[in-house]
Amino acid sequence: MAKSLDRARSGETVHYEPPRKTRGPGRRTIQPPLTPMIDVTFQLLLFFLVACEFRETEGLIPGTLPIGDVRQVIVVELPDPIQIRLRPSADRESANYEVTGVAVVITNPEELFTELKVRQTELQTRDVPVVILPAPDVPWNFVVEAFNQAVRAKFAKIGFAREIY
Amino acid sequence: MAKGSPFRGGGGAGDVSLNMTPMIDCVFQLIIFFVLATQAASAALSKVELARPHKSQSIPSEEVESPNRVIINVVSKDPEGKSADMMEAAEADRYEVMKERIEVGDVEKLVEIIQRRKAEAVEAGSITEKNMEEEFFIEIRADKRVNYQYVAPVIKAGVEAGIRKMNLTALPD
Repeated sequence: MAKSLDRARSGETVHYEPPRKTRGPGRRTIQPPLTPMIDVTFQLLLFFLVACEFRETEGLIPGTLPIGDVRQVIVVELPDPIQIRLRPSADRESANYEVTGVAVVITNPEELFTELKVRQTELQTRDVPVVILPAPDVPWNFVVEAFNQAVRAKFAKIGFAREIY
Repeated sequence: MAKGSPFRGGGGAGDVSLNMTPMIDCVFQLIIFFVLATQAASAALSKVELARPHKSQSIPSEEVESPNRVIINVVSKDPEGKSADMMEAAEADRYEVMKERIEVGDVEKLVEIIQRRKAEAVEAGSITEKNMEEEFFIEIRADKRVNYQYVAPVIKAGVEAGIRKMNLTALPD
């Protein structure tokens, strides 16, 4: 308004200008439509929330399978294989490991490892076969445990008895 | 008339709008996290409780990832561990190879599957008759609660199919 008055006073012709024009461009900004993007994003988020399943990383304990009957092969090749007999405890929470030549029944994996390590040191070879003979009702957990301790003791030939005793 | 009223007309100088930027930022962060953390469900891996041995010697399965292997799952009758009866979990319900269900103790069927997979690997050229013994193996992925008597037929099938290498699936220490 003040500007128009100044212009009128100086003799200039002042034309009417609507308020819409005098207000200028205002605070109007260009914005892309966000709604579809947010919709899709939420769909994706929901999908992943529902479908996601967290799983522990799995590992593998390498081993070999025998050719034919394990016990036969061992008897021919080496007269003194190390046999680990497995029996479950009454509550199935632990297992008894009977190692050939050891009078005491081992119940702890660490003790089993120590015994196997002692044997290996005595025999001074990794090639002595270790045969695991689990009872039919032993939980697989303890069979894997025995196998793992034999691998840990660095025995090269670890196998299972083919027939269940 | 109050500032920001919808009846004010004009350029909408007083429009109320939510600030979407932080929300979109968070949502994108979440999506990226889930995309990275999600593992696609593998048909080869059934629902089993794996053993975690003391001082586990297991090597990460990614290191032995090979097309020349047959993963044999031994699934418990109580895979979710919901039953109060301990003996139910000790029994195997079935064997599973790539979602193919095999009856417990069906050694013949297991041998057939292993032989078939071996033949497929030879046909695909990933193994040869010469290196078959070293390159082709079976992976026993059994539930830790299942009795040995249900896993023994899998070992027997491996021997009968002429497989020399066998891996046991276990969790790292």
